[in-house]
Amino acid sequence: MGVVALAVGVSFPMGCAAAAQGAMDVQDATGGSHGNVTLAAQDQDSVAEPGRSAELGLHFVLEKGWHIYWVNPGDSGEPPKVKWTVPEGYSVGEIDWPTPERLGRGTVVDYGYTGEVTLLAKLNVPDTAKAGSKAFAVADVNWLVCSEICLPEKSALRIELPVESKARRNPEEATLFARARARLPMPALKVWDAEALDQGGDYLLRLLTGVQETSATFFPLRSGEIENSAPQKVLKFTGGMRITLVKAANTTASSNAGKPNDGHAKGTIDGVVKFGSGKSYKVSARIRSALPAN
Amino acid sequence: MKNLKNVIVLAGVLLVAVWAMASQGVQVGQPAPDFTGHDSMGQAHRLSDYRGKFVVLEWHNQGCPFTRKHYESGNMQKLQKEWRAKGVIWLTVISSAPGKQGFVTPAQENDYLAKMNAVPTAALLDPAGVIGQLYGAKTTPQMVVINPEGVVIYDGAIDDHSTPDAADIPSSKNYVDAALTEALAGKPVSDANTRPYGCSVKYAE
Repeated sequence: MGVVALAVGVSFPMGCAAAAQGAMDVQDATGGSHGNVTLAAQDQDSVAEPGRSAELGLHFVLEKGWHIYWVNPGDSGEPPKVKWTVPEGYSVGEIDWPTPERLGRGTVVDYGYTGEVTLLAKLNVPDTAKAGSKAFAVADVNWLVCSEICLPEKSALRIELPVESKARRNPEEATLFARARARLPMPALKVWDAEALDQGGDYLLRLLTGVQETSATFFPLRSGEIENSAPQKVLKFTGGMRITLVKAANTTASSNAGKPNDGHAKGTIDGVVKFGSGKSYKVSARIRSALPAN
Repeated sequence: MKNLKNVIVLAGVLLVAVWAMASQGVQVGQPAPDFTGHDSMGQAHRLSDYRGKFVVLEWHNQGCPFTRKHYESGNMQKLQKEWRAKGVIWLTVISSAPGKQGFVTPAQENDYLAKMNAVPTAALLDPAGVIGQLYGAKTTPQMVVINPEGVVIYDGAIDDHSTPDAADIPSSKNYVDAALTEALAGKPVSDANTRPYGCSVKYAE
């Protein structure tokens, strides 16, 4: 189990009716068939500091050749879905999605993760939480794991976290969480000008970073805006990055998987840009027509 | 140096051109590209022969959990039965390449259709992925609806619950059912383009 020594909970292959048991007993995660997931807390021993938030991590270890999906899975697949159950007054925030990889080939291209990945989410502890009481978080996780074929997996994970007036960091989990945070896209700097020039058949995404970027990949946050499988052409540009993104065939913006592509309501192209250096940033580029106004 | 730059630019242009040829896709409101496919009974079907009728194309892979969701629950068969009774042509298209999940011989497909009580007009075997690539099919299931004039009026998911769990079906909005209901009543299709969900189509590499 290695680095996730303090992760609590056990994952069950789909169809197993058992619920997760076992408070603080540290168990190996028995996996789905092609990977497993464990739930970890950064402040394992005393996470629940009243009025603060504590970081939780769903740590996936995937079999070689298998992958799971980003929040926008691309052309196929589905992102992991988590239903949290926490005590009254507590809440869990949205998942912070690490920068994905471009997966697949040919005309079907997806966005996801291989190897190991940790999905971080914040457990918000109410002011009224009493030191000495116990908090817990249960994560009902459904995910799709694919190689050539896809398999749905699910797992019920539970972690218990005593409330203390001052949280103690759990050194054994520090590495896991530090590594997870290092894989999150950073917010784009305010001074960077981000613009998506609408050129008819494609967008020219331009990011003024001040440094010439020779290689970059863009991951669209929403489906239905750009053609995932189209090559992204990085154009030479001394002031930063210019990359062409071919518009989706049915060129309308959409929100979620399986939901209607219901028009370009947003006025921006949002996503993550990963540079050749390995650094990645969240970008929201306002769409501007490249055609001259008259 | 200049030559090298030109070569790089040309390579980029070629890459985009090759991609554009490989992935044609369809657009809602545009004519559905014509094709001829052979079904599991050895019969040829030309799309344009069905002009004058509504046609549903259903991308299929019997091993894909998302396809299984709609077949093991009987949801897909119910749709096939209901709409074929109203004169709609239903073509199941299998674009899995040999050796890939979902690839079937004609006999295997006929066994499957019988076992599942599936009643498409025909199940087209497209192991070279020609029809799939022509339509830009990405997932199984992916659904396309074509009107009697041969125009694409729906392209996308089967419904609005992108899970492999059959328990979600009763609370789902079925886009194909909705599109056909509206179109047969002479109304425009409200949700004409959605993101298809499911497994990737298992094309040849």
